[in-house]
Amino acid sequence: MLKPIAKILLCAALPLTAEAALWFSDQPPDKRLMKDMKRSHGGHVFMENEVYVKQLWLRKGESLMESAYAEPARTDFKLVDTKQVLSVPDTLESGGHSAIRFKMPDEGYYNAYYSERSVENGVLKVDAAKAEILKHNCRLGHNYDRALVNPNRWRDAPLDIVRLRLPDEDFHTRIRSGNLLKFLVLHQGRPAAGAKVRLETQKGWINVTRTDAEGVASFQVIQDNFPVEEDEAERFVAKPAEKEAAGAEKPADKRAGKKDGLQTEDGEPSKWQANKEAGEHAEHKGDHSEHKEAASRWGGDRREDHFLVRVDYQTDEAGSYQGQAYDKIHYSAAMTGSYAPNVQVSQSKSLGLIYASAGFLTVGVGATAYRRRRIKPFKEVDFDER
Amino acid sequence: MSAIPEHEIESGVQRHARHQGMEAGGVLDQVERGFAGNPKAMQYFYDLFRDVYCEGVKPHPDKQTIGTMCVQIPDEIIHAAGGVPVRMCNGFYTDEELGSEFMPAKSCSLVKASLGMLKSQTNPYSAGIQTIVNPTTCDQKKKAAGMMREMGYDVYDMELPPVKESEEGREYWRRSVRKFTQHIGKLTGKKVTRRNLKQTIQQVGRAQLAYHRLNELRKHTPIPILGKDIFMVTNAYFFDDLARWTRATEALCAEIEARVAQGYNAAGRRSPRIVFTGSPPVFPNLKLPLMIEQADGVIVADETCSSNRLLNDMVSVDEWFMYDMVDAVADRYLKSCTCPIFTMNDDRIRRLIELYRTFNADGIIYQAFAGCSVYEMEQRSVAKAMEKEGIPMLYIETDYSPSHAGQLSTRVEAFIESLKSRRRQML
Amino acid sequence: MNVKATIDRIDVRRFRFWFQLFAFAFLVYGGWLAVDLGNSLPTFACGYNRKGTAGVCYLLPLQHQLAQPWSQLFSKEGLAVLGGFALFLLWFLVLNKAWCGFICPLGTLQDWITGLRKRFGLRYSSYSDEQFAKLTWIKYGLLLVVIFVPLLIGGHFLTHDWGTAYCQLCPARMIIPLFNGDFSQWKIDFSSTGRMVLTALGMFIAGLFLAGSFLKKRFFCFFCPMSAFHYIFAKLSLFKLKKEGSKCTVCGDCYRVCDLQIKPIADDVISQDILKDDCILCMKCVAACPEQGALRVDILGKTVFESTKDGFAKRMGMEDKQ
Repeated sequence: MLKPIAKILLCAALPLTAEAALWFSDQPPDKRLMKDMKRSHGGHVFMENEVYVKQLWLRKGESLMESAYAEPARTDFKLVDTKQVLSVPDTLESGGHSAIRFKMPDEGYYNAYYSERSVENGVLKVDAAKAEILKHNCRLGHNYDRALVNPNRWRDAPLDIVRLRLPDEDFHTRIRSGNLLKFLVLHQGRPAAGAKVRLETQKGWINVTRTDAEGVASFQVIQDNFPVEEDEAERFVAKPAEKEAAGAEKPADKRAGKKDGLQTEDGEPSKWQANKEAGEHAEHKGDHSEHKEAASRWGGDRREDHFLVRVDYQTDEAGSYQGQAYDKIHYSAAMTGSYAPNVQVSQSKSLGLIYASAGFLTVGVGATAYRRRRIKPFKEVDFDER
Repeated sequence: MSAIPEHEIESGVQRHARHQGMEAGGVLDQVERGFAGNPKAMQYFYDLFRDVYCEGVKPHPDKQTIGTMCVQIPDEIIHAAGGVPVRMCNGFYTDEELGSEFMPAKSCSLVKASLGMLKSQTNPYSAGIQTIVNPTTCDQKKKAAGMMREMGYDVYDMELPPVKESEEGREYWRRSVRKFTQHIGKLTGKKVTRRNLKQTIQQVGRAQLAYHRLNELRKHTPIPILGKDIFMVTNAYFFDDLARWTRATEALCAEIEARVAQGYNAAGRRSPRIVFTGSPPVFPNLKLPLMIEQADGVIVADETCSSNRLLNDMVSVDEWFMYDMVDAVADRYLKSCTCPIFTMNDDRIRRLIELYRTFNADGIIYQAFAGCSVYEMEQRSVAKAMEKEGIPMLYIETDYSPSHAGQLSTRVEAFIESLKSRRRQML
Repeated sequence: MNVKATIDRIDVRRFRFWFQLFAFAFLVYGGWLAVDLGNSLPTFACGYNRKGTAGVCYLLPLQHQLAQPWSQLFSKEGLAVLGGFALFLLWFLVLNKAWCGFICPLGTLQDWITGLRKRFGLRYSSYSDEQFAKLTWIKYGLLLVVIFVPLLIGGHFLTHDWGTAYCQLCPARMIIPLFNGDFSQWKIDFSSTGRMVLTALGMFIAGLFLAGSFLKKRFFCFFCPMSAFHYIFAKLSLFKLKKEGSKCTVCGDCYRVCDLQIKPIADDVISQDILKDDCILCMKCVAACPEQGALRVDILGKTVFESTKDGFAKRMGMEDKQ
């Protein structure tokens, strides 16, 4: 029982690099938990009396790849349900880490929020994590209120990232490479202009922009997740150099690795980096073995990669926090999302038409030839001599 | 010099025609005068027979007539090609005698009579009949084709398969009919087209419907019309003008319907109801039907190719194009045909049982012409099936000769008496 | 003239044309009017016609449901499959195979293509008995695809690339969305071997469909797995096609008008319930039968449509036109 407390203490005490973001992940630290989970439209969920139950873990790191499971410094979790009702989700320990857990009885989006504060060099840092989880079950039909597709709001979020919906988006829409993603950044409920927005894919491609006067930043999603076959994976799928040793097939090894990882190669004594390998394994699907599994289970165009979007916004507000004075507040917020390959790049209409024409001609020519042959007055019986 | 009155020496043909007229007249007298209460509308048919067979009136003076030898020759197609089909199946004893030189002694009277008529050149239907369409039905008809050719007729062999259930048989026959359709168009000089074939299918259909309407009325008890009149009506279809025949039959229907409404009884109070089957009664060989009705029986239904089989089954077209219409016509003449020349006769037995039931009959009389081997051969299986169903059946082997009449009528009367007593027992 | 006689005289061809047109418009465009008949329709109301469809062909959700991991499928959750199936059965039992002959949009489309052929005056093709006997099994093969491919996916023997395998092959996926201007299904998907094989076959079959239905009446119905699926439960239906064998003269009129070339309709004089696996219950046979009462359609044991001499004569234009 000492362990989590120690973690929290360590976490709070350690200085954070400016780039480190904090976000929610629904990938369990312990892969064995996956066995009890069901894949749904909003990612993996537990089932409890036919009700979807979602569990989210905090992750922290400079990027999706350079990240680890983190322990919350505070218990400042918030949940906004589909009816915009604010509540506090349960916290628990799951898979060796703290997690939040909430039921999703209604169709629509559930938002989870978390934030941490600290003062550094006279700047109050407010780091927020956000998750937007869809609950949709096809069995309940598709006559749902279209307004449920729209994002939920929590006006009191210190800094909120709202993914604006794609045209004609519904519960089945996937974000695909090539889509124009739009994020609205809200500071205390009002659009934040000039905020730095950074989108990073799981393969490590980064794009940075700033919000416009309306607080909106947009990105066209890069195509870096090519749908390929298992045997082609070797050729097409990036296999990051630092990954090969990770292996991490067995959770037991991961646990063992965790201890060793207290001291990492570069000597950075980071508690959260200690969990890096395990975390990367779960989140990062570019890995060969992961990809194989993903491809074999969900098929090429179903394979989804994750992206991380992170916002930084600074205001000249002065005050003091826990006795430490500051003259600026630096807000940051991060959330993840997923995107699938662009299906059009692997589709050919012209070839489709050629095949259809082939079918058409097979019958057309075949039948015409047959009819012509039939007009001949007599057809000899053909014996098989074998 | 006094004028010597001109003497005309009767030629062989004239003499033969006179004999035919005498035979026909005798039977017509029996049909017309031997029974009381003939429907008024029947007069058309009596007159028609008298005109054609006794007075030498040709029914189609200005049309090309095509002789047909069997019920399977498609009327619709001949009509569409502008021809008139006339059935060459003949019932004259006079002709049978003449035709017996072509055939062995123990062969079918009908075939012999038909050959005799063709030989004698006394064709009652048309002066210059040249083309005869002969289907490959029974052996005797098949062999008759060669003899007709020998006489100088243009004979078209229309190939009919011996099995009607199989797909091959069906396709074979359809091809025969398709070929015939092309051939007949060349022969008459009028191509069978989509428009005129549709028209004739509908015309023949209308005629069939008139027959069906008449036939349905025979289901009534008491029976409103005698069987001998029905045979006259259907025999007239052999050679009469299609539209005229239809109108006359419809007029007869109307009269019979009125009779039904009145509860009119054309037969006796207890006349047993008979289903007639087997070799076809063709005018003037109405010997057996007349004998039955003179013996207080009444023919309420029949299963013969000179009557019911001639008109019963109808053409059903899905797409009104040549390709479908010709095939549809072909199907009408093959699939439902209960002619005994086919390998199987289950359909015929089923039909007899159904007729027996729906026409509320008391018994079946089965006529087989001596020498009509297919009907003779089917007798056994039919008799067995009828016995199993408990249907009384009388099998009579006969021919066109007027001898044995006494012996025959005794058998018929005995059968009819037995039916009467059977009915009494059942009550 | 009483009601029954009037119905028996009905011009089935015209009635069907208008009924089918209405059903087609309803199923293919009903979605725009927010009509949703659910996911268990026993007819090809194609789910790929996303916005327009007024309901979804049961084969799509069935394949989805059966592709669940076995641990889920064979657990309490798997019972949901039965729920969808019960609804399917309920829909089906009401109309039996009349779903095919009167409602199926793909069937209607084939009838329209047949109409086009007639405009050209081209004869229809037909199978020989032998070909028929061989080809008739294809629909059962496709039914096995509908059921077993998803099960193999659920058991991780196949990838999800093979998901909804039958839909990928079905010409309705390509053709029905066209009526809403959606050409997006006309493609070959190279994202994986499975998709590539299925979509290539699907496109080929779409081509076959267009040419085939031009030459052969109801070309695709003969291979339709839905038809095979229907037949399994057809005996339970309240809607029946019946034959009175004793009244049949085996004239073959019914057989020759039959779009599906069902021979027993003419030759079988013993069976009472004459509905066969290929039947689409279009009632053309009943309309083409000249024998009084030989063929009839019964709903709940009550005869609603029967062959009559009178009706036959009217439909064939043989009635006196005076």
